Amino acid sequence: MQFTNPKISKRRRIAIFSTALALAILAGVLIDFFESRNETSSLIGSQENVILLSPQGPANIVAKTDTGADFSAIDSSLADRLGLQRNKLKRRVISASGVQVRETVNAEFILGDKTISSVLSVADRSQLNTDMIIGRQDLLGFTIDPARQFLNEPKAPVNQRFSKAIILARSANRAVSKDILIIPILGALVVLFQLIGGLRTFGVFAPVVIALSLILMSPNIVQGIFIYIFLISIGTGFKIIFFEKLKLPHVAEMSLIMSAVVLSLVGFSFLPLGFQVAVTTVFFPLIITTHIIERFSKTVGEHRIGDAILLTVQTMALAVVLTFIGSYLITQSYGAIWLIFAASILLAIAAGHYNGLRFTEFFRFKMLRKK
Amino acid sequence: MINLSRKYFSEKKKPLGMNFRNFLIREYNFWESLDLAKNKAAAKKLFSQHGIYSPKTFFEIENIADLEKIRLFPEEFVIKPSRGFGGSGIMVLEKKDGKFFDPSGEKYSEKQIRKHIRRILDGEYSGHSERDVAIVEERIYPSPKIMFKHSAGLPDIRIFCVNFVPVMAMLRHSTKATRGRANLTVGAIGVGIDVKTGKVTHLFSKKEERAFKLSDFDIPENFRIPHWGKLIEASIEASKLSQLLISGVDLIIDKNDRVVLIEINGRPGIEIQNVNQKSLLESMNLLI
Repeated sequence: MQFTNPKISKRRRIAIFSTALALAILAGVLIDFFESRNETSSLIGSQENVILLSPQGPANIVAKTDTGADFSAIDSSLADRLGLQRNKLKRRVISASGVQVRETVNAEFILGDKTISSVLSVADRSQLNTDMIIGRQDLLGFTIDPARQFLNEPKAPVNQRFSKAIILARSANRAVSKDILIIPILGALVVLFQLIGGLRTFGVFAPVVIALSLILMSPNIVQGIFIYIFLISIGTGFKIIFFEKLKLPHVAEMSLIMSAVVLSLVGFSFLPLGFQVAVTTVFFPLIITTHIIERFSKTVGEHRIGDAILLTVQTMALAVVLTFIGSYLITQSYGAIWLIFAASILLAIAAGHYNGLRFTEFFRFKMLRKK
Repeated sequence: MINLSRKYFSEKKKPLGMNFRNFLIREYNFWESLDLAKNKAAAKKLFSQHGIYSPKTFFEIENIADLEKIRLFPEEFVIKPSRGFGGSGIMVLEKKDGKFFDPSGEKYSEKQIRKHIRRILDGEYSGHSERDVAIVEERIYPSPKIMFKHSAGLPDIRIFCVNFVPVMAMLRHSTKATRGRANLTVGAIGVGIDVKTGKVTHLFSKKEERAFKLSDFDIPENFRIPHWGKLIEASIEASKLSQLLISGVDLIIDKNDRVVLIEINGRPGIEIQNVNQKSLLESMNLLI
């Protein structure tokens, strides 16, 4: 029957524990090594071209490197023009002209080949040569040659949507964006696909959340899908081979699966650049991935491996469809999105009242219809 | 009562789909009834009070203290989570020379059995880690009359009732390949039964998506399920007691030719239509 042998020897348990520990340590050492290697690489001059990723799109700015300043700063009128929202938290800045309390904005900028996410002070720099200075906090990992200028040409983001999405995900205090309206629209679409199409997925949210993260990965969608499939399979493997044998309570098992997923993600970050970009956005739906792994292995445990794979394929396929719909929607105007949002609510309600056959049921009961 | 003369029942030719089934359950199966159906321990008590035979309960374990009170396990028994589904968490055990064995021959110590019960109590099999009750009950052997070629484990009879009236029936034929489990999704073969007469009509495998001939399983033509009248009576009685207007009643004929009620299901599957090659809407229409 369902029951697996609860026998597990102490030696085996220790072996598993130590392997996990060893893996964690190994990962830590590797990260440290790679990070320290990366840090010595870039040389910059006293002035550099940077690209600031703002809600209005990427902007080219000349910035001065300033090792005398703790923090980076930006001109107030430029910040306004770029639509950067002021943070509630202000910052005390001590300078030659005394102690000042300055407003701050969250922003990301690209300097050389690095994308730096920072909190910039806002100051009136209209009388100064450059609109921006880069302070010590953001100069980590760079070597400065004061005799030279413009040593790096910042690599522009692949598209604007990508950079916008990153800011959306990272800045805590941002007003409702149209990107957020996409979420319920996609949710309503899942309802349609399930109730009228007859698609079966791991819950309603899994396809939506995966689609969102795929949208954030934008040009690297294929890598994103591969990462998900990899994570689900490695997580399920870990769960069935190791964690189930430990006979832990549900919650503890979930946290172990999460650790396995994170560890494999860390492993992924050593891969080529395309994957690296994708990895940062996979962090976002970690929980849902863990959940899928749990459901997947449960279905496998009921001796329905075919069913589990079918469900995963359908979940991923729907997520990909939603990704394309979502990335199209995001380019539309505010008004259009609000309209589609309203329509999607009505559609979801209508689908809930649909009592007819689902599309797939025409095939499921084909023998009946022949008669 | 479900008003079967309403418009949407008129399309007899159409099979009953998931959407409409869910609608009927939402509309007519009340929460209390659904909860009773989910809770095997409570349902069993109710049924046995009204004279429907279900496997005899040896122990009902609600907490660790109950478990510690048990000094001696019976010679032969089944452990079940009260709120389990799909047959998960069920353990069939037999004592031989002071050791316990399951049907596949695997050995279990008493400590392991107690551990398994603890896991049931912790809600391992009840979904969402709800606390659960473990039932230790009598092991049921099926009547050889309903065992066919390749049969293994317990074949059970599902009777689909609407408005407390049986409308469709099937026998779920478990095999060695399904590890004795009678779930159609796992690969058990559905045997369609004519509700009126108890005659076996079709064979269908959901996993392989195909029908079989009766002769493939050495079932004689015109084979009737024995004690069909008693089975129908039990299903009517059970669905009335549960007050479920849509229900699937699971029954077994045991080796002493008794009709044994295993459980009642408040969300019965609709695969039964493929097994019988007949639409449930059509069958419901015959009730008007």
